[in-house]
Amino acid sequence: MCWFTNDDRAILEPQNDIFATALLVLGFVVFACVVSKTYIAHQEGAFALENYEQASLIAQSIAHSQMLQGSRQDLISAEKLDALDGPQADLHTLSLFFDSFSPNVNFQVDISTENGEHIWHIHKPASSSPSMGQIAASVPVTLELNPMQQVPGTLTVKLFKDRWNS
Amino acid sequence: MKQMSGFLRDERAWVDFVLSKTALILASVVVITAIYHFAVSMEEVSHQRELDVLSTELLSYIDKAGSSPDEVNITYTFNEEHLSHFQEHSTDILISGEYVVINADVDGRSLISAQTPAFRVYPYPPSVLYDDLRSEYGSSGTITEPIRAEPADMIGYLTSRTDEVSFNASERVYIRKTFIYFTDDINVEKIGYVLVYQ
Repeated sequence: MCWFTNDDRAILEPQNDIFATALLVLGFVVFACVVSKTYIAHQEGAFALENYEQASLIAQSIAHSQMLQGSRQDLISAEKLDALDGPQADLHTLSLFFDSFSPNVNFQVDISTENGEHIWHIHKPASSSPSMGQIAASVPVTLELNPMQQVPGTLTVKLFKDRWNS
Repeated sequence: MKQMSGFLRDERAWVDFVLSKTALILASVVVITAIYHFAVSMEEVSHQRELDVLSTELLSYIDKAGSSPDEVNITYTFNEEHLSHFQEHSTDILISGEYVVINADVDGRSLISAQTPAFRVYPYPPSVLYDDLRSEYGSSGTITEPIRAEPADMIGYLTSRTDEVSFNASERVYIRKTFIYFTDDINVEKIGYVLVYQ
């Protein structure tokens, strides 16, 4: 270090301006990278938030749907869920269930009791689950297992987005 | 040969000076151009964000109406603060059964913000919906006049009737959740539709 500072030959002196410009370019490239990274992170956050709102509205709509209504307006009938769940699902009812939603929005509905004893999965007929990103939103519901038994549960909407990175 | 010898013995270093300064000028031009393009692209991103805010706000009103379990009427007015950035540019607002699209032409570049509503949208007033259904099925689809048809047929018919409708940003947009009723003479079913019109 001492040798370097005492060197008076000034080998680097004529190229000082080039080094300064190179540093400026490097600084600008780093700045552009930081800004673009921040923007991408912000975009992803905004996209997730925006789609969470949509998933949440779908969940609320389903929670209040008359198609699933039990003996009271605030109850979801387990019997009606059975008709929509699994391979034995009634295709006409299933199709009617999804008809109120845009065909461009791909989602599935998972409903479970709080203790996890009963779980229902409602899929769009003839839809394949895409491997794209998904946003989930849940709302608390009350499930009517039979006229004598009502239990708390959760209704979750998983929204699959084809345009995840767009 | 003498000239060449003179050139080789010349120690004024003017070639070094010229090359060094040329490289410096070229680098400066590149950096200034990059900074200019960066500033322009940031401005474009800012315009795109404003356009996205406009379309997302309209979409959230449509989705809120669609998620309602009952029939609702909502009136929406475009945010003048966001709209003011595009007033000097041509802005098109197009709503179809599948997309809400806001298109602005900023300095010769076309910026588009497209969003997908979660619920079924029919971009016409209730009178047009009822007339369309009455002309095809003989019933208006209200609770007093349910349609005798398969829901999938009716959805296919309404989709075929739906074009992109252009909306005026300075006028109010009416958003109405309504239900179309079906019957098979035993049961009555219904499908929700969001009507968006001016």
